[in-house]
Amino acid sequence: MNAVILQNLVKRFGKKNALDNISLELPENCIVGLIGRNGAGKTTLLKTLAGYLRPTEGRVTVLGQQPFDNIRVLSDIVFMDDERYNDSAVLWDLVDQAALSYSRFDKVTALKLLDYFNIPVKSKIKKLSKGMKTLFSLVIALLSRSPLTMLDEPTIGLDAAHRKEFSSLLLKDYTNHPRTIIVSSHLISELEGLMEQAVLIDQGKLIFNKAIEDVQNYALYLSGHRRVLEELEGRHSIIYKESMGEMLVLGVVNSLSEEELRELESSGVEISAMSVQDVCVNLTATNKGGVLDVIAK
Amino acid sequence: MNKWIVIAVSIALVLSFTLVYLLSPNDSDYLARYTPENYITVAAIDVPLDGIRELDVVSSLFPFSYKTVTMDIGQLEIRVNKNISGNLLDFMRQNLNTELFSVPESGTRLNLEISFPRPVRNYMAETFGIVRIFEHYDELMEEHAEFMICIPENYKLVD
Amino acid sequence: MLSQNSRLRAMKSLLYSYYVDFKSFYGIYIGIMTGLLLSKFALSSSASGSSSLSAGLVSGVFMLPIAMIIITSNSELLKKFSFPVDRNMLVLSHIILILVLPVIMLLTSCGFHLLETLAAELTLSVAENFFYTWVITKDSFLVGFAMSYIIMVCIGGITWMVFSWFYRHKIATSVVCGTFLLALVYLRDFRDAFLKLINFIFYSPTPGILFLKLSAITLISFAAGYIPIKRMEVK
Repeated sequence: MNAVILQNLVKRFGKKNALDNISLELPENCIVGLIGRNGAGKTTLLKTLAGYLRPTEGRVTVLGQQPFDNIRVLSDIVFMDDERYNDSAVLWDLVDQAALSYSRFDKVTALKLLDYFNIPVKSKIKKLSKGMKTLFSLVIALLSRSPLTMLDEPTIGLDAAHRKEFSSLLLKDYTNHPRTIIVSSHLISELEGLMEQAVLIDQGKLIFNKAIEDVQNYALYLSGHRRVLEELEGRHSIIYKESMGEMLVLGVVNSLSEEELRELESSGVEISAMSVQDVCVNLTATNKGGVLDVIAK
Repeated sequence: MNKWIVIAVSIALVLSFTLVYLLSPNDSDYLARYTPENYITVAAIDVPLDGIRELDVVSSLFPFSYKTVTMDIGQLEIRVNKNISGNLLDFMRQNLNTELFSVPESGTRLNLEISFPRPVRNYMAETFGIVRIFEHYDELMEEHAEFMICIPENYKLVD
Repeated sequence: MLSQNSRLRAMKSLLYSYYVDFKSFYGIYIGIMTGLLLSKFALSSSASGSSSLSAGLVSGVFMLPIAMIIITSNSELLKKFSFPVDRNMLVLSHIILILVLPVIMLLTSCGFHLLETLAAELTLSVAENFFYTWVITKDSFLVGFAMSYIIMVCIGGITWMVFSWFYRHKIATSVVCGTFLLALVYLRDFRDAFLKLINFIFYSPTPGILFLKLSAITLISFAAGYIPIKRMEVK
């Protein structure tokens, strides 16, 4: 069964399409990475799934029902972003509230984790550093064990050590309590080890929804003489191109046959896999050149 | 959440309401406190008893309230309610100053000035002020007065 | 059954969060009442002035609308959506607040009234120039309590309704309210009609009729305020 089904979802704010005709299905018990540039529509998508926003058009089904103003669905959803809690709220009260709200909430482990992260439960939210706030929200979100857990930019403000610990914690808790976890982040390289499925959106449109292995094999970098590589341009889908004199670097969607790859290698072309991060960046490039071009002008 | 504190506060609040209610008299008992028999004279002033005359109380009795009653008496009398907590009666007997001035231009008008040489403090444990929007309760509350100024029948009080 | 269970959990959690939020609100109220009590007995040379009962109403009439302005704001509602909640529950919890807070405030004012009386008794035993009178009857107390309650509820309800609309439809609500105020200031006939309406509401021969009129206004406010919250998106 799918945890999330979107059918031709459109969310419009005024005349702007924040989400533009998105259709996708996310399976149960899976970690999904939601990837996109700033303003791509990731948060809008998550807020629509969390029942905050009403779809302008199309249909949203979460855990078998539409989520907007539906407490049966919302009780099984947790959505964590960076504006969660009242600044004057005491952490202890929020832990109590989480225990009241979520039937699966593991309060004992939550308190142990907060203690481990040196987060004082008797202090107010406003007394915490940015990183501590994020850690606190993460602990609440993960320990709620909601069948649909959505984390919007969960590593903002965390230092490298805490980001690593977050990854371990998420994986361990997910292994023990499988559920659908959607993580949206800019730090794709850190998500890569976590996610089983990647959803890329850009300007409100779905670019792809693929298993992470497929994304890892999605494209290749070819680096070699312009004369050799220019021949490929008509035959294959190019998502990146950079010239350096007679040399050319191409990002090519991986539809090349074994024979073609062998030929390229024999012509001195260097072939390397394109990282998930580069795939996402290249697929969502703005065609305006780079930021250095702006300065050069 | 400290459940016991919440329960204790709730009980205290309900008890407060009940106590205020129980400590309050009913309307008829309340009114009985302000009948003329409950006021005792602390000062009596000789005034002319001939012809129709006017009396003006020119001083403020703050923080006390007073009412004026016309009755068949031969002097102008200042009376004090005996049900006021604290010994208001003795205090006023010792400290009340009254002066009567005639207004020469009018020929018939007298000005009464009352003062207390010592500072006084008065506290009224009043009911909700909002009840005064109803005539019945407004009249009921108006009955309360620490002082009663009794004037002979040939006098009329100037507003 | 599952749905009922989720609903109950969510409602308990929401009410708990409001209980936590309103501890500070109650603290402010206690602070105001304590300040008035102290100023009456310790700082002022005269202990005259309105009693705690009336002061409770006045403080409530100012504080409750402020609380309503805050709880209906987008940022506050967003925070409530940190945990599972639906819009019906949100409205219900707000109505519970509007109905319960005045009771708590008025009961607290009764407590302060007793403290005042105690302070008066103590002052009486040490100062010979201090006097006090109990100017409350059983009837006037009950009627005053009920009237103060319904006035606070009504003002709270109207404020809640206006701001439920305002935060969701700022321009439209501002235009309507602005036009209303301008008409009140500049159009004599409109002003007279409005004053007649106010007079009609408040001129009631009995407390019961006034209570019913204000209850009706409150119910209408609740219904009108429900519409924008039910339709709102959490942004």
